[in-house]
Amino acid sequence: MAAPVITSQTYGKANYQPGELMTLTVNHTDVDRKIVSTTTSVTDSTGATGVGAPTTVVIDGAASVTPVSTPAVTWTLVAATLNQSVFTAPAP
Amino acid sequence: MLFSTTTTVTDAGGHSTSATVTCTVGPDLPTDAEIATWGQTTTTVTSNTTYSSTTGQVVNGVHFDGARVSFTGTDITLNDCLITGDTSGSPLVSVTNANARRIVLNRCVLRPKTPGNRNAIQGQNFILNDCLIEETTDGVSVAKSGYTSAQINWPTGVELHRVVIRRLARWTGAAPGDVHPTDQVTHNDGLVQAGGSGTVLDRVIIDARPALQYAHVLLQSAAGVVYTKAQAYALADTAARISVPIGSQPGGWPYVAPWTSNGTGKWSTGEMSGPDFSAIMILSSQGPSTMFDVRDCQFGGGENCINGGGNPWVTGAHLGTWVRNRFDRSQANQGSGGNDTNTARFSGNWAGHITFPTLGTDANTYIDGATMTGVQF
Repeated sequence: MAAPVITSQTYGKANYQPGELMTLTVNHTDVDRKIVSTTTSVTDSTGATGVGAPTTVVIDGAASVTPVSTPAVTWTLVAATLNQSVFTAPAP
Repeated sequence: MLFSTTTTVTDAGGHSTSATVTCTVGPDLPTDAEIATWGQTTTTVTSNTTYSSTTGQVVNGVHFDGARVSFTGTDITLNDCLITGDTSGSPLVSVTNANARRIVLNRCVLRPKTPGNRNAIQGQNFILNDCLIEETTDGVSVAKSGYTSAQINWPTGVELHRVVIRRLARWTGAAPGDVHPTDQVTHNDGLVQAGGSGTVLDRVIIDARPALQYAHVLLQSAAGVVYTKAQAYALADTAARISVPIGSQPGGWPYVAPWTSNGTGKWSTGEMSGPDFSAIMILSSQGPSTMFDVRDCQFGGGENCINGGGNPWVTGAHLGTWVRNRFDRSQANQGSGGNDTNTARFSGNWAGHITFPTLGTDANTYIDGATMTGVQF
């Protein structure tokens, strides 16, 4: 199994004033990640088939995205998808 | 301040990876690496040049090699120019003509080719963005050519954004009048304003300490060996600063002591910052100086860092807004010690007529964050 990859990591801008809300966007992926989608169908004796809604399972998805800063700040996760995590924190 | 974040991403299998990204927090001041990119020239001009266009002329990448620049037109922009002046006493850049308006210098460097007692830029109605000024007597001289008392409260039209002024050239004279009307040393100011209203300083760095191994400041070791420039600037904070002897150099300079020790023995506490240096000298020889807008700057050195003693309050005047500026402790006049380092001394009667907080989010502070004390309004 391979480690995940951080494809990009950016602040909202290059310079902040103390106390200003900073934004950190982390884009990441994992080559081992597999998304398994299962759709169940049921067929009766007449041949009629009913198809259920697909269900999706993510295997080996990112378990955590953790930013640590110097000087220390408390980052808050404000948005997340499989490949992107967005944090905010007040500038020190 | 550099702000660094390392993010670690870990998958469900316990595999992880990390990456680091940096930004800055605080005033967006110019850095040495950035300064080194200013004044990248592509052509050379060797004669004094006057620009008179009124149609938005733009000049790019010119090295004015041993040449001055002046303006008699409007809406003229110089980008990435290196202006070194001639051998006269005139400023490297003059914006003194009454017709000169909206003169803009972007990413320009003003540094003399031939050392001499002259200022970098003088006049009104000019805007400097991302510019370096060094090794001149004064940096920026705000003055109105032909001023009359009928023009009191004249708008200076001067704005400095992310400008660095440092390494002021200290000259000595055999007699008063040689290098200063009444003194035997130059009086060096990062910015000096004769009067007028509305000057803007935004993220400006002024270090009002002398250039080393330049003009009449020449340091030597205790054994009498003259340092190179690199060695002089690399001296430890507490290292002895010893001038070459008076009269020892060709022609007899230095004619008098180029600086006066303040007894601290440290570069960082003003050992070489006096006499007669200032980061900002505020005068009223052309009417009161008023309505400054000074924010997010960094000031250091000087006998007094801000010296407004020559600009007394007059009825109805306001000295403007000074916020989030930071000061070092390298003033020659250390006052009573501690925080009272004569960093900001106005004329003593501006209280209530200036916005200069020392507490709160817009406070002016020392660089280490300490609260300023001893501000003389």
